Amino acid sequence: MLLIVLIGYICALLVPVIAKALGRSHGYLIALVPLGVFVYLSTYFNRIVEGEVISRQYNWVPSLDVNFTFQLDGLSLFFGLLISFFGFLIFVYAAAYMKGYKESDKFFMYLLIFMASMLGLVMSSNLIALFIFWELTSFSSYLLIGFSHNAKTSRNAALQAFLVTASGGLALLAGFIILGEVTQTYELVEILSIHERVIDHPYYLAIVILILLGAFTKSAQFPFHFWLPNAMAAPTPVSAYLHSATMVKAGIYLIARFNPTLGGTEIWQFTLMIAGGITMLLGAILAIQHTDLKKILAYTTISALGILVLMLGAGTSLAIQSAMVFLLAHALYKGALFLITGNIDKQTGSRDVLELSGLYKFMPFTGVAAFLACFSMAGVLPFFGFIGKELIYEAALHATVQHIALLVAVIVSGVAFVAIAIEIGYGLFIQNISFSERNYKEAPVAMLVAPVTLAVLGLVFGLFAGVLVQPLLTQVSNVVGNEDLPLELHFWHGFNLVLMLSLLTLLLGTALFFVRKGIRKIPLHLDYLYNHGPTAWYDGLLQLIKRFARLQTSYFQNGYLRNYIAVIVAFFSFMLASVLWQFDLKIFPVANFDIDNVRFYEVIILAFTLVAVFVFFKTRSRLTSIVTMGVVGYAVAIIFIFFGAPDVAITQFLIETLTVVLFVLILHKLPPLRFYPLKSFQNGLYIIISIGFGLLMTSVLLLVTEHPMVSGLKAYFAENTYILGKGKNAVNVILVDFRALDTMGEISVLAIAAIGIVALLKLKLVKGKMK
Amino acid sequence: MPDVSQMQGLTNKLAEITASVSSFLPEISLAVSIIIILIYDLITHKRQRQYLLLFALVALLLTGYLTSLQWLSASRGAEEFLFNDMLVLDKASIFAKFVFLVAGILTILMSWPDRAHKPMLSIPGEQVILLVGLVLGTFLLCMSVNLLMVYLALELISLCSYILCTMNGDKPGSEAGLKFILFGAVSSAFMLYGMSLFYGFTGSLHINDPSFVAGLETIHWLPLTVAGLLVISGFLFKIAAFPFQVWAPDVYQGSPTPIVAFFSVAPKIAGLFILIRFTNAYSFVDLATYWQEILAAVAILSMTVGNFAAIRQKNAKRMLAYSSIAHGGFLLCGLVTFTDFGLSALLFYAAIYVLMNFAAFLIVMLLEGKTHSLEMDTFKGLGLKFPVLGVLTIVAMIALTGLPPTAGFTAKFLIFSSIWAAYASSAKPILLYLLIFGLFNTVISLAYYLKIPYLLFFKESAVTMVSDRKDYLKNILLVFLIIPIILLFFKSEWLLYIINSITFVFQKVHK
Amino acid sequence: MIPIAHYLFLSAALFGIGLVIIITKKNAIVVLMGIELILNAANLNLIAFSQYDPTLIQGQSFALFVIIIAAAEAAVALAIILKVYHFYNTSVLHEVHNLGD
Repeated sequence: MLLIVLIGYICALLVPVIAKALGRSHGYLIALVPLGVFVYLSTYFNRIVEGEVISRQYNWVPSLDVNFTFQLDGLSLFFGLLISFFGFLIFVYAAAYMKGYKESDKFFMYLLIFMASMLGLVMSSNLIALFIFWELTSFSSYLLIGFSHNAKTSRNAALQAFLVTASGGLALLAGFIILGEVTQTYELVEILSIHERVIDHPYYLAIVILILLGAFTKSAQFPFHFWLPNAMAAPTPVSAYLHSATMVKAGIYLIARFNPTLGGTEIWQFTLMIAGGITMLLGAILAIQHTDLKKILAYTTISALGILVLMLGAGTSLAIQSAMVFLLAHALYKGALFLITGNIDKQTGSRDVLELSGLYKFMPFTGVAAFLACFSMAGVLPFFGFIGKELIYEAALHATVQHIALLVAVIVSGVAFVAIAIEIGYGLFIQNISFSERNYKEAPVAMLVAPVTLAVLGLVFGLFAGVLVQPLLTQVSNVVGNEDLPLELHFWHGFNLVLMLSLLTLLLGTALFFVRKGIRKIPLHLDYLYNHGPTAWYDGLLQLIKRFARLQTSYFQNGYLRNYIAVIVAFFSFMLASVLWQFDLKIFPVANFDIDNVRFYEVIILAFTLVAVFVFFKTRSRLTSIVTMGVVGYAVAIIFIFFGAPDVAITQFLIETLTVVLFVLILHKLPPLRFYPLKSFQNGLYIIISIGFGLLMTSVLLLVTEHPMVSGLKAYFAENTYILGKGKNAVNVILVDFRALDTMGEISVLAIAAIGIVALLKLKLVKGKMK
Repeated sequence: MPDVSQMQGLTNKLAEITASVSSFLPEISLAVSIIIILIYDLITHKRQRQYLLLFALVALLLTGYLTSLQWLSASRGAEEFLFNDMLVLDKASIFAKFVFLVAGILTILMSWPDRAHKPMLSIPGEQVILLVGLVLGTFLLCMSVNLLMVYLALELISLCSYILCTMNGDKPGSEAGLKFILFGAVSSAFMLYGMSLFYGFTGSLHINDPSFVAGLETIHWLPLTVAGLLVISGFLFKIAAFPFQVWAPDVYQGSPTPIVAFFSVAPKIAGLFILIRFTNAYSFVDLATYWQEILAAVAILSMTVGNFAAIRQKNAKRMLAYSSIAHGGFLLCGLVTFTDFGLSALLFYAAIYVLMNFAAFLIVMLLEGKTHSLEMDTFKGLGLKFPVLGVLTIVAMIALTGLPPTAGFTAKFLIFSSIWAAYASSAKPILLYLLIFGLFNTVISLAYYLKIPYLLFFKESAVTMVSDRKDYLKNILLVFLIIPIILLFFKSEWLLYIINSITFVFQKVHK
Repeated sequence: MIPIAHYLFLSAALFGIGLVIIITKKNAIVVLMGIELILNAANLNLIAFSQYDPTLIQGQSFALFVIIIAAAEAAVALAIILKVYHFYNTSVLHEVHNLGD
């Protein structure tokens, strides 16, 4: 099974080679790949229909329980067949459609990558593998939407679609990680076997929310639906394949796949029903309002996705069955309609329903396909769409909760579908409004095969539903519902309530078609909605991010050292403040100033140092700065002697002298120091920060001395004062000398510094010479 | 006069030092090669740069050989203390040394001069020496367990970095150098002050010593927090984590690209290592939970500040600078979990990070070679002209974002899993925030990492002046960087096997 | 025995004033001197605390290393300041400001 997935990727890599060898017609050859996959998957058909589940595991990272586990059950096979069959038709169609485009080999490459990822997605039964394919579909969709990269709209749409779906994907990953931690496995089969534990777990809510976020972004559910209409900037075959038949159904697949594991709770049900319901109605209403054919189809697709989510949310076995049947029906007619739109667009150069009419005369084959597809969409007997709609109405009638509201909602969207179907089938092809000179040609054969096949299948499946689709869909529903229930598909159920409702829908839809122009004129304040709806949220979020980015950069990264240091100090203070919050509040210790023991010379040195530091701080003369700095250094050296460290003191003396000399030399080369008075407010602020920090430091130090620090050592110290102070200095020196490693380190540092300084100064000379 | 027992102790110490030398061969080989290169540089006048680089390459390969001998002889969990407990040699540090060596070798290969290219090295001898010195510094830092040694190693790295940054010999280089050294000197002064406080607290400089930990346990929380914050200043400066990240963009912009690539990787990981060892001592104190929260705040802020600033960059190197700040935050996440799993994730991330960051800088270098500019807008349409480079760029950027099918994903996945595992077992809310911010930042980073492939493929070329010069070595090098990034996604087991053989130092007092 | 509290107080004062100088002064050289002050403060601590250390040498040798390395660092910094001066004709920090967002 790995082979099915891999073959797509391998062929994708070969596409440029094939394209070079075959020239323009390479698309047809590549179409054999999905056909091969379809045939191969079909060989499993009988086994799967009998309820068998085939799984293969390829070890990947067993230590983390991440493996490529592939599983073929009813649901995966159904999607797999859908993907490969559509893939075949789309490739044939695209081979003709993309002829005029530059770099069409890349297009097929991306399309193959997408198809392989999609197949991997539906066959994976390891969560992490599933996520990986999930993100790959997002990424290949990004490449495909942006394919017409000259147009700014398509670039932006590509980025928008990717940001939305990939972010959702990351939420999905988080959900999977949590689920994995809860169940201690990433294998779906094992998770299914302990799903009660998941549902009772406190993290259940988080898991559901995160996983549904992934599904909703992918399947364009409200409020993430906005990327889908924009994604219509992609070439039409892409719209047909990704954004109506397969990729957007990945979210539905995910929900269906997880229904047995996570489903059956109120949270699950209501979230799905609410999101699905809103999406369904919103899509239906917006579809009526638009006149661009592709936009109309996009919104009806959103509406259809809403229906699917709604039905999965309703959760009864009838609802699940109806969702799966409708999924197939929708894929068939919507795919066909998109391709028909592609034909119209290609041949007439327009996609606006207001500009197009009477096309049947010029494009009879396209027209026939359109009629068939529209009948299916409208749900006319005996088309497959009719069966789907019947089942949905029935499921709504028998829903366990809110069945009246459900029924009304699905009928409303059904009415809209009928009106749009009439608009396309009748309005575009038969009705003849404008009489301006037109002469369009029928699309080439290759571009007719796919839409006609799909549309005809919509009729054939309707007529022979019991034989052709029933076996597989029974398995599919069983997998999703996690129970074995028979599914009976007939187009004729006798005169019953559902049939009446269907007829009512048709009538209302026809009525809606005739008043549609009036409805379009009704100011729905759509501009307001667009300005304040999810699209605006998305834009606003982007703006907010940019603004925040600018703000924080200008604050943290403004190029001034003092600001940087102030940020550090502020950060430290904040951290300390929050420790303070958590611990007791004793900050200022009582200092143990032992005045009696202070000797006269100590006082002098201390006072001297403090005065020098203060002068250093206040002075504006460069010489005074250097001198006072030297004084501080020497004073420190003297203090070292007090503490019995003569060797350190000597070093300090020497180095301090050296440093002072160095500073003098350098300052000699530079112009006089200029002093810039800070704004007094700023200055005050900085001084307060520093002094505060200094005080904190003092209190810390005093705490150290106050503390019974290493108290044992103090006793030891008292006994050995004299020896420690002077007597052992010889050992001291020897030991210092034998600290071999430190010395090596020090020598390295010094050597590096010397080399560097020489190099830097030499560099200056070289530069000087060049001048 | 010192008495007999003291003399005895002295002799023992000398014997120990002599014994340590045999475990110190990689570092000695680096030090010796510095001297050899220096002498060679002094006695030759032709200044044939290739030979100097070749010397350095051979030296690093030799060191690599010596290090792998160490790896083979080191048994699981074994630790060897060298030079009177100055350094520790364990499997983790050997692993880190490999990472640094790979970084060093890649840097040398990246700066290998090609015909007609503006030489990277204006004064080659010193620059090569400094690079080897940097490698030596990172080697020492990742092994240090003594505060004095930590200070020395850090200063070795710092001084080499300051000079390398300035040595470009141009105006931006000198400005970057000035900001770099002043900021670095301040943070190392902070660190030193903190270290002096720790010396006062415990009377010991050996951070893994029981007496050091025992000393900490007796100290009031306030001085402990202040001193801890001061000490990690120096480490965070090396990691370029918030609030010590500010030097990175300027330095990255002003320094030669190969050197920047090294800066962005080796000192960062070495800094993380010493932070891990230092935090280990803290994990025993009452303050441990709070310490974890501080580090988590640093990680969150680094990720957020880095990513948000990267969004609005126009210069490719500045963008990568901010991205490396964000990656520093992700690496810190592994540490913040305070678990062995987290540290393994950190090691994995570090290894992958070396590959992908070098790939990114190499790409920037190649693109710069074509357009003679670092402004990202000039890269428009280049992916269509150079499809192979374009595809490799896509892979590298996806890896940096952390999406499949690259090892970048595996690394992020490990980090996130370790955070969640730590949260699930300890229920500390801060870990949950860490996870949320981590995911959120991954989303943000999508926006700017994809900008480069977006420009390369989706935009028409605006600049017609594209130099068509072939640079085979760099292209081949790039391919060799991308292959493991993809390979380790499918076969992450290979790297994990190595990492799992490392028992980390965490939650353990030595001796 | 010399009471170390006073010296610790002095060290804290040096640290605080060093910090004030780093934050408020704009000339690179003066900032460098401020850093030297903090380093002196650290050395003072090390030497003072080393009185408590039974082996006495750790703090002292640390201080020794710090003194020398700090000097090396200062030298490198001065060399860099010279180079900056070469390009910018100034050593005032906020006038050296070409890089940035």
